Amino acid sequence: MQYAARPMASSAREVARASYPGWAYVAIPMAGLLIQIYLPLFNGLEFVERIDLPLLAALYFALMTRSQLGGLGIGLAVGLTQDSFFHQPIGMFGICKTLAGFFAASVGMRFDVEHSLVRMTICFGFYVFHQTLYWVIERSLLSQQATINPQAVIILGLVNAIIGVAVFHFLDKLRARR
Amino acid sequence: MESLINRYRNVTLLLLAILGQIVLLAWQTRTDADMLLVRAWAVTTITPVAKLIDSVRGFGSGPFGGYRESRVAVEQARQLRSEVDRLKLENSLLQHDLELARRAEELAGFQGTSPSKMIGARVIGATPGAGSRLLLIDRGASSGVRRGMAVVVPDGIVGRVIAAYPFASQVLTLTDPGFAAGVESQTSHARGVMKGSGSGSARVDFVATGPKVEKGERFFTSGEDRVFPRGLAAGVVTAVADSARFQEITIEPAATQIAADEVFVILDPVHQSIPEAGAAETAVFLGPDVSANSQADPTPVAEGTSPATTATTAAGRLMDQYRKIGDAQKHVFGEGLPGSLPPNFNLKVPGANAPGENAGLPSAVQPGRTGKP
Repeated sequence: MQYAARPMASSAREVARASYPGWAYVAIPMAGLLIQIYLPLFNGLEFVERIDLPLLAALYFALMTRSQLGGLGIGLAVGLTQDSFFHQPIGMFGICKTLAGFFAASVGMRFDVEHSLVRMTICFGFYVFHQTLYWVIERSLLSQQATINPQAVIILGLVNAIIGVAVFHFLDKLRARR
Repeated sequence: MESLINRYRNVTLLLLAILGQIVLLAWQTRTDADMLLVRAWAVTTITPVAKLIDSVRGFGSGPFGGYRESRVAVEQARQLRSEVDRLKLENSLLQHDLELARRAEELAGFQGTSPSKMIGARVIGATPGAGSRLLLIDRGASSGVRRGMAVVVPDGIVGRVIAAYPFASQVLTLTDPGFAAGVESQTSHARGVMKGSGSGSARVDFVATGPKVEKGERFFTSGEDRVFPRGLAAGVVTAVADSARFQEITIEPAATQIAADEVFVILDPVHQSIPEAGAAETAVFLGPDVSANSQADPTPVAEGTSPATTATTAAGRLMDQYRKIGDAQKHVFGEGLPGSLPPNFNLKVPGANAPGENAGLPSAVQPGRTGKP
């Protein structure tokens, strides 16, 4: 009965927590990070650097496990790992992805995240949230003269959302059978 | 109380995680310190995987790259004879090998001629971000690489090492906004600080309005930053604008391929002089060479001979010689299928290449004086 009041999640199945093999929590974000780092070296694949695969991986596990602490943890780990590869103080991506993971898990508890449209909306929203928060941190905490291009963020958000739906569909195959 | 803690446990942990990272950021910003241990662990973890992928990439861009090109060539040449297809395929593979050899020779030549002691490194990864660009190279502290060392390619400077791990190093490229290097212009010798702009270009700051820098002028490293030795190509001026105190100079980096496959890390820099500026590239008419005219064949040209065979140049005389050798063997140039026997160019023909009867050949092509020992 408690699920009936929820706007999108209409059954217990929709809010059931998914579980994955242990290696997937490490290998998938790491693979996303490697792809983001390495594929831009190939001619014609420079655009891959704009696809935030680590964010998509963190969002997926946070959404599907529907655990705020789990989302927080994986967002924190992915963000800090990503920070360590970039020439910037450690914690920039960490803060953004920690918040994204936590809030994604909160959203996952209330919405039917199996639906492609919901997934796309969530990916788009959290990408824009992530980029905006990153920009705010750059300006407010680091006092850098960072700029943001809203049009580019929105377009890239759409691209990331489309790719996110495809990636989520693939990652669904890894879900442990009950 | 316990129920209250349990109720807000998740939010409390979130706030602690965020607060912890903010404190971490503040500490790094205030002390200008870096979390070297964390970065070292991360890079060391990912380096073997990156090397593995790089080796796969090398395999893919080698034979399979040639195979892809050959597939295109075969597709385009489907209507041609099979012999032509085979030759095109061979040509494609040889061109690829030639390009690799040329690149290797260029790198070896650069390393051999530079007075600075340097070590070659392969780029095994890149960490591009918003306005930031780093390279990951496969040489680290175990190879003598240290933080702050300059990274160059034959075309010019690439960046500097910002972190040296045991078996890999991170390089901050010159297009990164955090990059800076002391530079000096080639002609006006104006000095300034080259800084990355986050895009493909860079700018030179703090160049006083006194010595006027012109568009197209080249900038070289001045050596004042004690990172890059003096005399390395930095870039070419693409735009100059005057302001109140300084000139606003935009330059295009000399190293056109910032993410090159191979780079050099300068272990022991040696300063060089900045090369003198060359003459302006303008179309200049040059008359015939006097020395060539004095050695020209005084023999009058036979009637009916085309102007191209008047043998007033070395090439013309050589062509004349070949034509006479061909005539002596009744060979008609331009005829015969590929693979047919060419005329014997070593045959001594009086009036062409026989001793004592040369037809005004330059010394370099006379028999017995080919320059070989």
